[in-house]
Amino acid sequence: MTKDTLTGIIAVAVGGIYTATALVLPEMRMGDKLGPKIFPLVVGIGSVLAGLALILGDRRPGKQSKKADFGFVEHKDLWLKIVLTTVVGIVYGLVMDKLGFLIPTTLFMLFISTLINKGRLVQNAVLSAVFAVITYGVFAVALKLSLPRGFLESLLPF
Amino acid sequence: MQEIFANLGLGFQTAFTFTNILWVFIGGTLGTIIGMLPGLGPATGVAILIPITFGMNPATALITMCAVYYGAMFGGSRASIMINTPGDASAIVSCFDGYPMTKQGRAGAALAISALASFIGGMIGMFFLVFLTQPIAAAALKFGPAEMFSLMMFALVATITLAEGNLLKGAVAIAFGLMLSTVGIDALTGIIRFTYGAEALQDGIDFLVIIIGVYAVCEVFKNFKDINAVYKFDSKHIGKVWITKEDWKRSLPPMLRSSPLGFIVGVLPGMGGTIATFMSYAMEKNLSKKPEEFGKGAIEGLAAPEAANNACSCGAMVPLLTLGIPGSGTTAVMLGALMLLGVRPGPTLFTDHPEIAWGVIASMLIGNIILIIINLPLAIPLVQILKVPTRIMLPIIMGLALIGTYFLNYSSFDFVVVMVSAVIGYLFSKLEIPLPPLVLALILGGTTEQALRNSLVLSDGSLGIFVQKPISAVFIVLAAASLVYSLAKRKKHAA
Amino acid sequence: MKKTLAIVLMLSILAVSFVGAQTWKPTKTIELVAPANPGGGWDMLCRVVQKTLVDEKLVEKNVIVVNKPGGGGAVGWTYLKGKKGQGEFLAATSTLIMLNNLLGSSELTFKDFTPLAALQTEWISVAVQADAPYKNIKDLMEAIKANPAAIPIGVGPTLGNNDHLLILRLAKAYGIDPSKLKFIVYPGAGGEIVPALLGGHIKATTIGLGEVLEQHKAGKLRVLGVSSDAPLSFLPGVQTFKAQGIDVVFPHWRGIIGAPEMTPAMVKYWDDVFTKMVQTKTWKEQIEKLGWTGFYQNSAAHTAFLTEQTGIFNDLLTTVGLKK
Repeated sequence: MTKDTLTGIIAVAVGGIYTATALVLPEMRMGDKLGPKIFPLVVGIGSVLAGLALILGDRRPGKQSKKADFGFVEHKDLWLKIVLTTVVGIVYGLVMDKLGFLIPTTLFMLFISTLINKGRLVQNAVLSAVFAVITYGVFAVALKLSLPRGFLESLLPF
Repeated sequence: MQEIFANLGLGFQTAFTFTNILWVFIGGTLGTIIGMLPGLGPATGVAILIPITFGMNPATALITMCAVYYGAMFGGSRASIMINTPGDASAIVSCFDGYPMTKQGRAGAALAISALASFIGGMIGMFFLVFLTQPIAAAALKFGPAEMFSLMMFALVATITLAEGNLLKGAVAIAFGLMLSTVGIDALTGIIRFTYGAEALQDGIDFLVIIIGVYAVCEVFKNFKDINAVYKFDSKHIGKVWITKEDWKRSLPPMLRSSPLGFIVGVLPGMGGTIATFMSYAMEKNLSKKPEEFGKGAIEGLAAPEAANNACSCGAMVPLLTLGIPGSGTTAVMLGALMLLGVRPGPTLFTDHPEIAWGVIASMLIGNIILIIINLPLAIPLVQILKVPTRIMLPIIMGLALIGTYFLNYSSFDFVVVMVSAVIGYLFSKLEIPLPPLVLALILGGTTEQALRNSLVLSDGSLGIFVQKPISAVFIVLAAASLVYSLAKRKKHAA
Repeated sequence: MKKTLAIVLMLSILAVSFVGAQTWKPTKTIELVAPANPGGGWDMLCRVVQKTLVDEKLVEKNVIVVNKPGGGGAVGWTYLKGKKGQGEFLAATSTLIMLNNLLGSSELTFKDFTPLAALQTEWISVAVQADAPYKNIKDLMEAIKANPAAIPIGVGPTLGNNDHLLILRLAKAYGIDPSKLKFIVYPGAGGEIVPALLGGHIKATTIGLGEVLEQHKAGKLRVLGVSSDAPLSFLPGVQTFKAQGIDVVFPHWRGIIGAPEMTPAMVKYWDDVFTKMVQTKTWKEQIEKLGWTGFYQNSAAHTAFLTEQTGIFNDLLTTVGLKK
């Protein structure tokens, strides 16, 4: 499939779902002529139309865009890394409120640096711990921004 | 006129004390550093200062906060230029040509022109602030919902025309951005829209989180592939931190045009550096004789938005100083801090506290000079960052991006948004769907819808309001013209 | 034997908790949760409380402010809800803790927490352009009554907030159908409303007094009335709504709630601390600078106040159809 056709299909699909959701929004107007539905409807339909135009334009002979290639197969490693980083990044955020800043940050940095900087365990461990301590020191201690406090942080005198 | 100079003299008397200059220096440096970090922008920088300003006199406090504000403007684009990760929304445009320049081994020139453009934009902005504050503030009041909506339309259309290749893809990107902007509680009715049951989405999607996702995190993804390769720019290819005569000649007229534009956008309520930088970039690309060089390292494509951005931050001071109204998030925080010190800026600030109002203006002039003195030499150690091996640099970028995300809303849910948007951003880049129109539409979407609905409340439902109001009509015509012009140019190009 | 042991055990637990009731003190860093970004009203309240508690040495532990913005306070309060029974966790609160629930955007109510104190209030005003023909609130209400569509009223950042409710209450008390009023909503709140009123895009606004005070003093806007129960010393020449014959008093107060299930000992500790705090020089100076008025209620009084106010808001929101 070509890039334009795929973009068109995505635009039609997303725009379609969005338009359908907009249609079932409750009608409610506080003296406001347009209400909460009209603007989303215009945007959603606009997306569908632009998508259709892209698909049709791509069918003209000789005007086709390049083939879409994400390299899912060819760059399996790369995609594995992306998916792994995404999951770990989300988990990092979710555990931070429970476990505080320092431990999850060190672990996250250890993960990401191991992924990128393979085989240098000592270097990575030092980098991770130093990064966590310095950022905590700069942001939470010196600049007094609030960072999540867990077990370790509540032992600190500040 | 004489009065203005007398007042300015008074201002310099206030500003030219050892303490105040020291604080301008500290504030400017702190602002530059904060501006460089993803997620931390001028508003956070000023908020950090609130406890520190508790003990200061009001003039010093405001001077310090302003120093952080424009320091962040200087710093915001550093990271855009060097590692393609904007420090905040107004630095997105600096990626367009700044990063290609770095890739071509001209990081030094890019950093130099960005500091120089910031300086020139700031100085021109200051000139307007000193001489034209009152009339401009009065004219800005003419801007109602209808004018706002038409201006938004113009800005969005201008951004579509920026997109390389297919205009329809730009339109799809705009539609996606607008869709994202409608997620959350509708301010006019309190109805919850498009959250699909996720409570965390009720407040809407923070565009800054998306920016960190599609730029900073996505940049890390893109680098996964050639991770073990030697870093792309070895030290010989950074270039001197200075610009050539040719660079200067190309950049000067765009900077001179973009500064007044940025200033005016800054004065308007609810506008900010993002729209100023996008509009100045679009304007320069359309005026340029070599538009095809834009996005591929054209130095004027970096100089123009940088100048607009700093002029814009001067403009944002106008509503605060003349009316006591915060025109942006940053000036709102400043207002709060000033109130804690017992000063309530209002329409009478210039007459009741001339030493504060003019002291701040004078300090901004001094600060601009201090910042260019800090920033030009700073570029020399800064470019050394490019020598840090990728395998060390990428984890640090990733870590800072996620911590920056946390500071935006102190929310762990934003980590989901940032990671997912990074993956989608990566897929979109493979499909050649342009991301800048998406981000701009997301930023402007909320205001656009509100302005549209508010206009129609005022006109009792008639769309005529957009052409009956002269300022609004001008923007509508400009929007239509730039769309037609761009279509015609593409057709000619294709033929 | 077993029974005796149980009784002894129970007695000793009681004794311990009784002793505890008199001596509970924070045992770790005190967290003040500001359910908003730095710079807003809740954040300011937390920072002023923090400064006063520390400077006046009212507590022995360190006090930190934690920003948890989102959901009109819901994010910060949900965080607090997870700290069950821990007396060191407090959060800033306001009318929004009732309104969010009534408007259907949050499940939380004050009953999920331990209300500790109301601390300060701001008053809400109704303002018009300086050259508008309306000299007092009744002039404006008459004009609205005659033709509601001709008077667009600016309000922000959303409908259903304090400012919006104030004008709905005024209208209702004056015999105008509140659902007929014409509102222009400004998500940027005061920063957009004041220029819109100055530029004549709206005809009136209902807004926190602090946002229009300087404009009024400078003669650019006119404040028609304030929601306080007595005239304000810093605003001569402007009467309360009550004095103008519309019986509406409306504080926009802010206070402190504690984690759920605090023991009576903890409540007593904080009652003592806050009673002392509101009398200190530091506190009085700070709130005066911010244009706030002291509005202290201790835990018991505040709980009763919240119950009463929830009833009033419930009726009002039902009338205008905003209640979910």
